[in-house]
Amino acid sequence: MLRFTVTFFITIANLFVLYWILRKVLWDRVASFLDERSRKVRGELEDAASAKARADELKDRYEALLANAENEAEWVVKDAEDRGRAEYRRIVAEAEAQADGIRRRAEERASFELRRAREELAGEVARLAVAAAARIAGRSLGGADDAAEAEAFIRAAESGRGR
Amino acid sequence: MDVSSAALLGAGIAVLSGIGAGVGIGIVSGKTVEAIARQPEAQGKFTGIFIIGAALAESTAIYGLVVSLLLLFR
Amino acid sequence: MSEAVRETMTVSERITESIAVKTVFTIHAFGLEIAISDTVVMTWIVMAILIALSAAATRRMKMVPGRGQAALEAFVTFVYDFAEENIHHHGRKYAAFLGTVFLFLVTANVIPAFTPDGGFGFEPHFTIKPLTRDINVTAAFAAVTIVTVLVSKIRYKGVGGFFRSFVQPMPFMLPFNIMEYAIRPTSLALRLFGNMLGGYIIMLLVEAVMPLVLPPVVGLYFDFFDGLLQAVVFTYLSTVFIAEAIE
Repeated sequence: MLRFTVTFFITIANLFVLYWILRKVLWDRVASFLDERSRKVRGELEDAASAKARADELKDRYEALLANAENEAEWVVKDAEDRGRAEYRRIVAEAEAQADGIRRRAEERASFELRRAREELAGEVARLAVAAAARIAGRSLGGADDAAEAEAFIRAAESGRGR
Repeated sequence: MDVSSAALLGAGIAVLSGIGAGVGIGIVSGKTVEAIARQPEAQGKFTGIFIIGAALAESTAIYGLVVSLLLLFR
Repeated sequence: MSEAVRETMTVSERITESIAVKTVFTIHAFGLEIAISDTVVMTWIVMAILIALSAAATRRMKMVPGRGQAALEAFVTFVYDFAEENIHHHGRKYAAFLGTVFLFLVTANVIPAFTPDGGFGFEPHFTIKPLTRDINVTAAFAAVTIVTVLVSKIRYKGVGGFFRSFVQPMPFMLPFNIMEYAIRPTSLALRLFGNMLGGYIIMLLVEAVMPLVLPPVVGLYFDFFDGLLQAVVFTYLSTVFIAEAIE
């Protein structure tokens, strides 16, 4: 029963052949297939991760852009407001200045008119005084030096009063 | 007693080695159950050790069996 | 053999006749007469089955596995993980060897259960006998395993380390260490052989005592469970020996 036969060596050879064939057909093939798949899956995962990263980056950029635009709009509005306010102030100041000038000119004019009116009135008064004096004196004092004399007198009186 | 009947008797006696193997495997499995009860998380390790221990204990019975077979089917 | 002849045999004679390894044919080559036994023929059949199944299973693998492919992948992954877990450093290199041995032993141990049943006393046309009932087959497996252990030890520890390991941990352990390399393959071979032959003899006895209902029930244990268990034990012990050698 426990006889040693050539079956021993044949079985060893058989085992080596089986090992060699199964390694080719089964073990290595399945192992390389699994490796390839895990590599593929990893690659796809990495792709997905990179796509997500890119999408995130785009979103960030977009948000930054949006925030920038909001800032800019705000800035523009503020700038416009500032400028409007400055313009307003400038216009108001200009108008005030203009109004001032007009008033001053009007005042100057008025005072000038007043002075002139006063001078005219003074001349008139002198002439009237001369005429009245001549009429009172019954003679014509129509001489030029008389009129000048009277005027000088009135002026003196006026300046004395004005002082 | 002729040779063949002595061989048959010897075969019977040789197979008594199974008693020792049975006791040994009983001890091994009992201790393994105790160990697993104590540390259930290490069950995988105990299973491996149990298989080795049971196989080693069993081999004495197998030697006895082989001897008895040799005697039976000379 | 005819029914009439079988009927005249005693149970003992029938068992002796069943477990005997017969020469199927003889090859004359290299000036030698190579007797091809029926166990060798069965080995070839088992090899053919394994190769055909593997080739069919791995021929068209898809990236998205179906049920069968998922099972195949799970099995292959399990073998690789098992080898890596038990033989830490170079475990993946031994996965193919251990897996091949395991597949062969499982197929060889379980295949007797597929003997076509004659039923109702009819003689089946042929019977599939376990090929591990031949000590030469199991001894060949044990020899290949122990040679693998020795070669791995020399390869990963160097020749000096290989010879130094015989006097470790103490010099007087030398005879025991040498004996270990004789005992290990012997026990491997005898364990597988004894278990399968014992199971086969018990199956024959059961069939002789009660041929109708009992054999399929008992066969469930002796053909399937015991065959699977012995294949696992053989592979596991081989793994442990290799791991110990290159540790």
